[in-house]
Amino acid sequence: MARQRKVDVVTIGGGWTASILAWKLGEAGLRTVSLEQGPERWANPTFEHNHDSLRFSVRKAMMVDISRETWTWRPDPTLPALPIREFGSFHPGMGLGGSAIHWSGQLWRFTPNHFKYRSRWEDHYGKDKIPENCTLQDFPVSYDEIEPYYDAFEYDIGTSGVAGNLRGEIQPHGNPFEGPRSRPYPLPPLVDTMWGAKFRDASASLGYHPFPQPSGILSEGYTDATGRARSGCLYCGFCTRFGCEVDAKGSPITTHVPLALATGKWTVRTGCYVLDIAVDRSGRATGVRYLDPNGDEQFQPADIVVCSAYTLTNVRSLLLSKSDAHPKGIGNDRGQVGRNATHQLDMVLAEGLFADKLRSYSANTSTMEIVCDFLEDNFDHSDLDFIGGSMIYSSPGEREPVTDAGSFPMVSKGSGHLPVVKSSSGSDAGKPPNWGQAWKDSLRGWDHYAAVMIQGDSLPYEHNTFDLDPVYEDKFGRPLLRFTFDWTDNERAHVKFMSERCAAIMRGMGPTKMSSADELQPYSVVNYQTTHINGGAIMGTDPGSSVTNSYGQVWDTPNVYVTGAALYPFNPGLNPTNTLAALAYRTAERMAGSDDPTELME
Amino acid sequence: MSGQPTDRADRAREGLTRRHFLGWSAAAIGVAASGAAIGGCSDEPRFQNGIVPSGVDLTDPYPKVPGPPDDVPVPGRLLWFTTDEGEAMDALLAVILPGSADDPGAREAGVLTYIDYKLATVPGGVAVRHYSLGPFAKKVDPGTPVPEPTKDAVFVPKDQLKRYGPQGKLDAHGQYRNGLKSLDTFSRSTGGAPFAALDAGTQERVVGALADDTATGFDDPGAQTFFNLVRGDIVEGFLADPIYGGNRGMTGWKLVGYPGAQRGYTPRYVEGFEPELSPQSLMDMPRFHPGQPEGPNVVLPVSGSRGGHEAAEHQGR
Repeated sequence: MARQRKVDVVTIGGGWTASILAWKLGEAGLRTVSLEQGPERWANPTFEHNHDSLRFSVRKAMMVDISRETWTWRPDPTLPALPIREFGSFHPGMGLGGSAIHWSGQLWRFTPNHFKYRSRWEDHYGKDKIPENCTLQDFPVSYDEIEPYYDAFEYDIGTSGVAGNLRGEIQPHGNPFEGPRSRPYPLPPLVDTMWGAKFRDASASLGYHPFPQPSGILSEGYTDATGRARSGCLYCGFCTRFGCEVDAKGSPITTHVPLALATGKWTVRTGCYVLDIAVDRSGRATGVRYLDPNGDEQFQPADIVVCSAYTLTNVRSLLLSKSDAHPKGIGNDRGQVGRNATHQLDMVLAEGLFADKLRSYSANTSTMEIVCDFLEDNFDHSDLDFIGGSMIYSSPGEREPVTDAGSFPMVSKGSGHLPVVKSSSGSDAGKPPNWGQAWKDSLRGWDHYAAVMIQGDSLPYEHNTFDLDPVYEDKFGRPLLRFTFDWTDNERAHVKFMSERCAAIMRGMGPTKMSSADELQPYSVVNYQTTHINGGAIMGTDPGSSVTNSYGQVWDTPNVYVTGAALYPFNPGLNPTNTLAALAYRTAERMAGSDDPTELME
Repeated sequence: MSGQPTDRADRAREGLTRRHFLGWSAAAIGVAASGAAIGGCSDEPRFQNGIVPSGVDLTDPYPKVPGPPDDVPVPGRLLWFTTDEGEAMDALLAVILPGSADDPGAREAGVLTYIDYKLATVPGGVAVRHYSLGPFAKKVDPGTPVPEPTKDAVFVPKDQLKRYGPQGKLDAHGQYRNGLKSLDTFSRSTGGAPFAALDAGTQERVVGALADDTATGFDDPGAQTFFNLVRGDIVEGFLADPIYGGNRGMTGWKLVGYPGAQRGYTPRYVEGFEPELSPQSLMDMPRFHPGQPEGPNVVLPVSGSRGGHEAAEHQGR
């Protein structure tokens, strides 16, 4: 095992939070090495000729190599766990910039209520309103504390949208339910689409408050924090699961990677696969062991180790790092690592066919209209048998026939299986046709389709967990991470409620045919859900019920930090990126200002 | 194929080497050229700012996920299927996604060429990275006790198995070989002839039995699993870019109304105002480099008042 030169900080992963930390810490004079399992890539030349749905969407070229390491899943402990052998309900990426290269750009601030979610429900509806076995907690930071960091991130990368709440004043055409923002978005919203306009008109006529999706994709040219002018979006239709060839989609490689490199204090080693975190006899981290691109084992010593990879990778890194000092893994002295595992309700609840062609192949996955009238506690839950809520949104753009014609006209996103066109004869009666002349004829309506969908919260429960699988191993003989997860009655009631709202909006959009789902099917790893798996190493105020403090510093090993959505105590039903970046800004600033960031910081 | 840009040759001509790129990158962000030193990964005598190791092909960082072939596969020549298998597949495609000269379907679009080429060139015929280590799942009847996993098998109630996604041991080669053999046996017992020789009505009954999972004699893969495998490959071959050998003449894209690989769409277009574009393959999409001048075939960023020209010029320096 070769030993590398010691540095101040080593990060596991070279994505967004790693590059944010390397930038801010580099400016403070600290040296950072990031170990990235995937390759280096840039807008040019890597993405300059990539409009290839087969390679990127079907064959998932930018995703992690699951032939080397995958995850197992089981619905509950009464059933065995099996490995995810082909990509299903989530698609983490790898390579310089991580998943934030192939992301959709949907950029949300969590609301003030989200940061004190348990308190909100208990204060308004009593302690009994919390479902049985639900381990919901508040964030250890408030919206007001995090707002300056949201603002900085939004201006550093360039974002597009309409402010709904400017310093407490509600603004027209924005999201009136958002927390107060200190400045408007730097850029106006993305293009208005035909499907979005239908959704906006229908939801407004029902008395809801539609607004365009806030996005990390530039609607116009913008000079970002690097000082470089970047192009506005080309609306090319190859965005989610693709890299952007004109850098219109904000990402680590547009902004924070160049900023971190410019400090002269950052090294990224690509093709390096981290094995575990090493500790000394007292249980403090000394660095990380990894395999270099030749497969040779290396040791990178550092004063501080940051788990800055995907949620599941961070949780597994902690659990695999067993020692005499931490026999159950780092952060797990009190058995908290792997608890509070959440996924996200993201599903089609109503779909329709329209007389006109909608050009739904154009634009991107941020071009949609949304209502937050049914998010969190924006509606009265007194007489409802669930807590939580969803944002309701129109289907986005950039549809690709090779990825969704196979399930057309029956959409099978999440658990919503909804026949629009029904077969009238044979054993397929009542089901949409999936072969023969009837199927072929239905494909002619492919671009006449739009859907109404939800992204809803997922609360933590005692029985939804991550741990190490006792049977399955990675290519190097180490246990895979096991995900135990299924929906509960709370989510089933939640979906039933939202279904009626989605169907009403779809009816108002004027389809020639429509259908809706009213039942949440059992969780399955087969169909894409979202990549927003949260929790497992949550931040909190009490070492007895969380893994880290509000800076992501691990309670029992303070020179190990965690970044990303593993820190979230629950999943608020909104995309995680803005918040994980804002938290990384806050952590970096605190570390840079600390006399000793290897000890717990107040 | 004439007229098709060959990526590698183009790149060589453009001189878009890694070194060239990093020179630009460093200049654009104001890093002193000597500061962004590139060095080896295993031996690092002093701290080096930058991204290591060097020697990575930035234009193809995903060599394990097959991209377009160098030349579009040639129709009418089978590389992987036997002649009998090819005839059965050809007939099967024509039933699952039927067509005619006027209204092309899977057969007319060259889907068989696409599938055959994929099976011939991709290891195991599976183009997506997948986990293939054991132990493998074994079905047990619902309601019976589920035995503890062994090192050879993990036991799962039959009715729960589909929640876990594909769990079979066979790759696509094994599934096609076995599935087509079972199809042949089932066709002979149903209609007294190989599938390709059955009359149209009997062929439809056979495909219906595959889709419904009622066809007998299919073990691994099961009848419906085999149907889904073929149907999934039809969707790929019918609707992926013609550069992969299927979707000939972009017939699939014309059927669904999809313009394919375009550089971009203007906001006015997205809003529905300009005439809809005709389909275009990636092989006909003009290449795009920073600094490339705008022309009739090149759409530079147009979506904002301060949009692309400025950015392109900046990048082109």
